[in-house]
Amino acid sequence: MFPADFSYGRARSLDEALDLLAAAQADGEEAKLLAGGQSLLPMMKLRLATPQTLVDIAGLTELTGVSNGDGTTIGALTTYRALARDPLAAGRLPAMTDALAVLADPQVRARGTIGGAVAHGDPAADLPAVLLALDAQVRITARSGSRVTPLDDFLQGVFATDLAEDEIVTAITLPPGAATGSAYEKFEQPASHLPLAGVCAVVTVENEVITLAKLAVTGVAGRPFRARHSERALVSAPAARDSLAVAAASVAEGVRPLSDQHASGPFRLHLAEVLARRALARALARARRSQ
Amino acid sequence: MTVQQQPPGLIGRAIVRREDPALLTGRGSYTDDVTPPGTLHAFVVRSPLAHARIVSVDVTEAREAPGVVAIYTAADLPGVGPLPRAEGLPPGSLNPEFPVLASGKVLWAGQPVVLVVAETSEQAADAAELVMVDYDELPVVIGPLDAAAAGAPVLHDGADSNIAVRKRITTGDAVAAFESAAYRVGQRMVSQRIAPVALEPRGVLASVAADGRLEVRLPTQRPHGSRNWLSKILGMPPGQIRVAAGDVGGGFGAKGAMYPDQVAVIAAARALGRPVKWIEERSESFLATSHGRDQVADLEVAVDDGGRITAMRGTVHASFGAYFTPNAPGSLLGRLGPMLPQGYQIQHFDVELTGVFANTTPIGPYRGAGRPEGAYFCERLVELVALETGLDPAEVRRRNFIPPAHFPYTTCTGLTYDSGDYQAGLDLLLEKLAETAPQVPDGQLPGTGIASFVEPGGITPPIPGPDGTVGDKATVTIAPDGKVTVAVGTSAHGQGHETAFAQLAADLLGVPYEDVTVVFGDSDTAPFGYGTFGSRSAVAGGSAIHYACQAALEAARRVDAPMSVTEAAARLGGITATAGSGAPPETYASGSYACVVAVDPDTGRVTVLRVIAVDDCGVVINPLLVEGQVHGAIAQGLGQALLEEVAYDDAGQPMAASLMDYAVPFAASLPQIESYLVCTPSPTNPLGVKGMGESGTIGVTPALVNAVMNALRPYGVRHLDMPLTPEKIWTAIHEHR
Amino acid sequence: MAGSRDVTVEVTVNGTPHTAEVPARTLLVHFLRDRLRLTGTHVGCDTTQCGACTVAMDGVAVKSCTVLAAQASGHEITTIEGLAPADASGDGLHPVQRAFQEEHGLQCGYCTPGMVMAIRQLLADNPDPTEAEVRHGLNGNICRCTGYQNIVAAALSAAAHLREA
Repeated sequence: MFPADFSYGRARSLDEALDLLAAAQADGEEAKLLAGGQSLLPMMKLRLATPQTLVDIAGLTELTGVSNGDGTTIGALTTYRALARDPLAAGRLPAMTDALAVLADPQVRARGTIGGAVAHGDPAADLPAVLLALDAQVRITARSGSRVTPLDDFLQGVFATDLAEDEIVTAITLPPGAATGSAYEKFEQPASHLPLAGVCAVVTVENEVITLAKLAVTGVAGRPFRARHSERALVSAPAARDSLAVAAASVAEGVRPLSDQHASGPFRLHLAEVLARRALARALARARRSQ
Repeated sequence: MTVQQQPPGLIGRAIVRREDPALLTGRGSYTDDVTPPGTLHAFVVRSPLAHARIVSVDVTEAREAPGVVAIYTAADLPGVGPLPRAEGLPPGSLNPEFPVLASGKVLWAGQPVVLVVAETSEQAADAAELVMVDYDELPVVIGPLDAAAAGAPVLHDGADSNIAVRKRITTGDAVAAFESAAYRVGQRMVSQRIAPVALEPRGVLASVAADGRLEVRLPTQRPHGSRNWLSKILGMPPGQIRVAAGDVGGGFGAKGAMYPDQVAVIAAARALGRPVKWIEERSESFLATSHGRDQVADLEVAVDDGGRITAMRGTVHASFGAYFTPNAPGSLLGRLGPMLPQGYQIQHFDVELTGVFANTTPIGPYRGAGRPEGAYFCERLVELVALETGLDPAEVRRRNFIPPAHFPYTTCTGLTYDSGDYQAGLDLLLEKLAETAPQVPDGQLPGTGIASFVEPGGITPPIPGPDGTVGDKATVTIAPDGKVTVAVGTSAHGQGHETAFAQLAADLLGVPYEDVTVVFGDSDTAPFGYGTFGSRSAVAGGSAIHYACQAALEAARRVDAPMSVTEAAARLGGITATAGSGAPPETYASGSYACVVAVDPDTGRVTVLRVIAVDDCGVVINPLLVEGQVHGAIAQGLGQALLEEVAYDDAGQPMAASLMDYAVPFAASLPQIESYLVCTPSPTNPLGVKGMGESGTIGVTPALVNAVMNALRPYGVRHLDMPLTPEKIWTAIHEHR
Repeated sequence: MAGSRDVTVEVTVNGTPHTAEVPARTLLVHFLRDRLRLTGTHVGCDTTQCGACTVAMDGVAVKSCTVLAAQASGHEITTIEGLAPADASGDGLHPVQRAFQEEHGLQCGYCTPGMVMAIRQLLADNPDPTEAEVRHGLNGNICRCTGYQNIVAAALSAAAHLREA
């Protein structure tokens, strides 16, 4: 099994990548950026995607690595494997570490990139839930200039994102501060290891009162989403089991769930609630430990 | 497994495999590893619809595509086919023609329609997209009960229903037994359709040798059988065909048959005079390689006030998919039905078996082939008997087991079990089960389930070989330098026969193990045999080797002075002896398995905490290999119980046609399996061995389901059909809460 | 034209440099098998689940069915054939290979090269794994023959051996 025919160009710089994209567009060709290829190539082999041009950006070292300045900046081409082994991510962001340990499999994690995970717009990807809960921003570059957009605005629907054909995701940025009170819980589809539901919780607690709560859910709807209703219910609530359960009960309120042979809509909604409860409990325990 | 005392001889010794170094270093030779110069590549255009009339096939554009060498439709392969029909069917059965390429109608989504042959596999695949087939859709029928129902869309032209075979097995007076029963326990149960998923996909490489002979590399369990089938399908003498298996990447039953796509490729190679290769894609495999199971049982047992099961009655409906594959009817009529009484002294029996055609992938043998289904249905009923009578599940089994003194024992279904001590196996199981209790996570529901089973093995098909006698052949050659070659007609595909048969022959001949070479898997270099399936190779191949070694020893004894067989070979300029297995009666291995599970009531997820297997397969040649078979079969059985299902939508489209959607067990889904052996030698073959390659799938499936049902007892859930997915369990809990 | 339909691949495989012109859509696994005749790397699923095609790229295990040959250009690949000399057996095998034989970690052998390559990576990352870590670490590899039991045993045994070495 192999993809339909296409042209391949390897970019040696971000500028060259933008040039290659522009050239393809000038020729009226559908071009796709190739980073790790762990989502794109399987779709191309199944002929669910048939781009005419691939622009390989995997070698752009300027788009790799994690740095801390005003917040954390993660180069779009940082692989899951590299991210899991990076001291700036692991430890400071336990939810990220949770997700990276259960995402796909080790070989896929060696190639797949954080930018690819975001740009692909897969409704059942693990990492976007964590990034959403961490208030991630997406840095995007085009020939006409650069922009930054919240991930929550960037994700639009099933395999749909706010990324124009001439744009490249260059980095994901996270606001300053460690998210030590965080956790990611997942219930996987046993064949693909994709989440039937996945929930990331971030909490801070002072004097046994929840002062901040963020919850993001993946696998359940057409795109990963923030559970704002539950978050509001948690803030100022006592850091107790009942508060978590009440908040978790509305984690997917108003959501039209996905439904397929792997899980019905109602089961996905139920899983989201159970996982929200569990993620919150773990996040809370970690928040207490780090105090 | 407990640490084995190494026996004095080679038989029974845990010798590591001689097969391994080549396979471990990437130097195996699977069909796709061989590409002679000038090889062409084929792509199969399959029906996208489950049931349709073919209005037209237009290959003109595809023929012009780059690299295309030839394109075949049914009309382009005159005189090729049909595939061999089913044999030994009861009178009145349907036995429709299975064409190589479809003409007129397609009966399942995936049926081969057109073969494209090109210089490269990319070109063949690209050109296949240009083949235009116009279909007229017909109504579709999927499940066995729907297909059997009056008014169902009929698949095969000329038939007035889809009912292919019907057989009623009756003994004693079931009506009276049920009338006088203290308890009647019945249940509808489904053994769902699943896919074998050998990791090496099917394929074929065919070429015509300089001398005009047809040479076929085929990942097959049956080289000689495949050669003989090809001889009939292509109208060639068998001597003009060579079938060689090479290394085969797992079969599990599905690589026994000769498939239409493979035949089309072989016919193309013959027509073109160039090597043609075709390797199945995994998504094709889910459509085109035979599936297993797909039965619905409505069964009931009568139980007296002492907890003894006196009778069984009811129906089993089995789907064969769109066409018969060679062994499919036998799996229902000869395995599933007759094995329903398992190891119990049931006197009265009245079960009707109905096999139907449906618009789904043809069913073939899959690890157990009727045995796991029969054992599953019986052992679920026994569990329900325990529930109804209030007896302990082990006690119900104890009261009903055939006692050791009653062997050979003829069942109410007419089978003769050779030997066994079922209670001994169960006792050991209960002892091991009681030794430790695993920690059940907080809030989860603990469950324990057991199952006992009997596994028939070692079948010898009643089809004579080229010398007119029935049986697998073995040839033992002792060269003057003392080196021994054992060639045998069974054909391993992962089982480790090179090692086990070398142990056997070395022991029997009294020669060093290292001096024995084992040959099989090639219709030119191995003597006739039926291949490897149905847990038959140790019994049949092993017996043939035994007799051939005896013959070689006899030849050595005829030398004028007493001497070893190698000295005699040196004296005589070599010894060659061939012998056949004859048709030894089938052996009946047995076992008792237990599963301990934890069920998360919040998500419905089942965690398997313990699997304990006690197997009695008679004399063991190599415990390492036996243990490996147990592990692998258990993983497949747990796969059926928890994860696997080939489901179709209403239009007959499979809903899981890749390993992204069809879940097989991963390492993390399984616990450490605890495997133990007890030994009741078989009196019906000279080695005392019993076939055991399928036992794990037979024992673990009911044990696991019984364990989960045990866990769900607080909710009053009586039965759930496999696979026991989280959503199914959660829904049941939710409904009963 | 933003790229080309044929690409030149310059890749070092098992220490030997190779240069070849291939269609851009050529997958690394097909390049290895069909061009270089290194047929120990197998294709089992097409959809990045089974791991039979696992090789090391720049020393890290990846699935060669989900890497273009073009992407591998300029990189170093190690396949199963690169772990031990041709015709190796016994002590000549890589410790992971040897453990597979000793523990009966293979039956049909089709998943085996990918399993060996994956476990080699697993032990490089975690030289003293627990059984649970080994099982979880094999999430990218499917075996249909062994029930994984003796594969896990082989991984643990190889780990012990490598720690002592």
